[in-house]
Amino acid sequence: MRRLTLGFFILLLFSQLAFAQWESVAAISVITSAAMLGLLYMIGFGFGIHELILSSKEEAYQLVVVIAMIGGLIIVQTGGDAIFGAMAGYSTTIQDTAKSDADAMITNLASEFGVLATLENDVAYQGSRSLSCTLFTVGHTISGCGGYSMVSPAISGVEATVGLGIAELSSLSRLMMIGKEYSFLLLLPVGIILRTFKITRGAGGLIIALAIALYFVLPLMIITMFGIADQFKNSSAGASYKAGLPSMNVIECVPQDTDDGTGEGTNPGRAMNILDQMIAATPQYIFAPLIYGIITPAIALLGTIASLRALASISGADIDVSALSKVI
Amino acid sequence: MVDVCSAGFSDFIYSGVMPAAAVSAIAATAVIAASYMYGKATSNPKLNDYSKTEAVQLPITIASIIFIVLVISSFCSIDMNSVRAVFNLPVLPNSTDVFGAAESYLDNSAIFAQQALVTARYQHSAYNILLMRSTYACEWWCIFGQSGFSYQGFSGYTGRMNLMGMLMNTSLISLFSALNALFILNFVKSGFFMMLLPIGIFTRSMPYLRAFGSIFIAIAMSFFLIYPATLAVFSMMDKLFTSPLDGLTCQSGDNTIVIKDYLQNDENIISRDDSDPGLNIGEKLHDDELARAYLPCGQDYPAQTAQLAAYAFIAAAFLPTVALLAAAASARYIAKMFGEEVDLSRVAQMV
Repeated sequence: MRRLTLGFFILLLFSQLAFAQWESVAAISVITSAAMLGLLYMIGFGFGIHELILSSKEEAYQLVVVIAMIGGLIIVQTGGDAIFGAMAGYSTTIQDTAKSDADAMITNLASEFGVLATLENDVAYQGSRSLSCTLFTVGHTISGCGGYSMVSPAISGVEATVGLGIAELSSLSRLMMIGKEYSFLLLLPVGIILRTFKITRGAGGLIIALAIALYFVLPLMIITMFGIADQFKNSSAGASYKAGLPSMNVIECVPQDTDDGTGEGTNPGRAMNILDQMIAATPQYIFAPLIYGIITPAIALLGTIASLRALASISGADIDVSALSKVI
Repeated sequence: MVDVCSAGFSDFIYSGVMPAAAVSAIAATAVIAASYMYGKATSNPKLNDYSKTEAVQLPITIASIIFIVLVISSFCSIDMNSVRAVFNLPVLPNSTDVFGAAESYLDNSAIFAQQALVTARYQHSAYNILLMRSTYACEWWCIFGQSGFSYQGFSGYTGRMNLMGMLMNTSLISLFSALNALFILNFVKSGFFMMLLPIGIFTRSMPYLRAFGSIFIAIAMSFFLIYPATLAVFSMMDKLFTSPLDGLTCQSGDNTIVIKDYLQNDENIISRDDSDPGLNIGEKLHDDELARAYLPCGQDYPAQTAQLAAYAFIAAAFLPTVALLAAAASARYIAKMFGEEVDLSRVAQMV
């Protein structure tokens, strides 16, 4: 068994001279499957064991499925990028485009987070100010800036949304890195090897499905969803969702001012001014984290996991993969 | 129980499991032979069919057991550096077998999740301390009373503190997922699953207990072979453990502070104050000095912490779940081969 394993890996090493990594593994797996089913059929035919003959016919069907899958992957891998580039006007691969889009959005959200953090600092500082006046232990304290404290929770909520958006997009970015770096280098060859043998066919099918889902489906979902969001933002309906970071002017609070009016010269009026600025800037600073950071990754992940189940079923591993949806 | 690749495991297999399997096989053979003889004597076609079917299935079951033992010994002899060389991946300084590679992946992912947790916790604690800071500046009549403005200069950290709380929860789930997967692997490595095999041999050949035996053998095969192998494959993905804090530094006077080391220091944030008299809170009259005392160069890293928590979740929760699902898929396929259906996908929903 050890020599067989060693011989298999030596064969893999030399096969890389002729083909790409996973294609040589696929070729060896096809040859191994064909040899195994041939042996099964010969033994079954020779000894009249019908179960073995049926088993070899089932193996032949699985071999045809594997060859079709490998052919499809080669076509999509070599032609997919060219077709996509021609359709969408991109000169890079699907994977690079999707990852760079996600990384660029992470950078945007991080910048937005910084702006919001500065805003919260300023607003909270103003809201915490109070004036005290005491003379020989007799005096009073005035907290005229309480109106500002209503603005801080709203900013905190947006900060949390932006932070979660960064986390969601980062998880997608990491999955796309796995797909781009390791799908064809590691996952697909291992999956094909495992699928060759009947005992490990289930696991091999799942790993093949994972490789295809991370390499093709996830980047396509990201590009599609981002494209929809971009189209909306560039349309007349999305004109208010301007690009760029929001800027707001925090008017200084006067702690000793206890005027209860809402005019411009009063503390409540100053707080309302900040709130009005926030409401006006809401389309700007909420659109990106909610649409690009929360909803788009959720839909992209749901689509990827759904495709993972379908691909796993085709590859011979019909199993419930809903446990992976908890990443959302 | 002993470690699967240790010398004692061979003794466990050949002195414990194999004799038990042999006894089970002999007992099953005796039952099948008795059924056949009784079926012939009473001209019972059902018993004849049963005994003929089991006479074919029993060698298949025994062959499966021998296959498992052979593959386990292969797993213990495969050098993962050789496998890495096959896939053109950089080799590690210390070579290890398949089970060792699987364990090191889960160790690394648990450490990665713990680093994310510590980073979020540190900043959460720092924000908590800074939020409590209140400054009062006396501006007039200071000799006869106190009159002036008071403010909380760091009250704007509330939102970030809430975010760190959420990231701590996520990182905690990642850590528990990695530990859960590690405990399952150690349980598998202990060899306890091998005890299922003799039971599986006997019960698979018995009427009405066939499903029971098939499931035992399928579970033993999938968790012994597929689960560690899948984790060993993931262990070759070196880029999984890159952190957004890698390489980040800042300058504090003449000192260069490495951000990752600063935020992931195990030292309690309060003891950091006591260990260095220069960081005494009472001496920090200026808010920026206090911020620099608890945050590297006065700067926090919430966006990078969110990224780190996400990366840790993928490495410590998502991929081990995939390994469990691969084992479940394999168990289903093997059980189907033995004639029964079993769905272990709910195992992956334990966390």
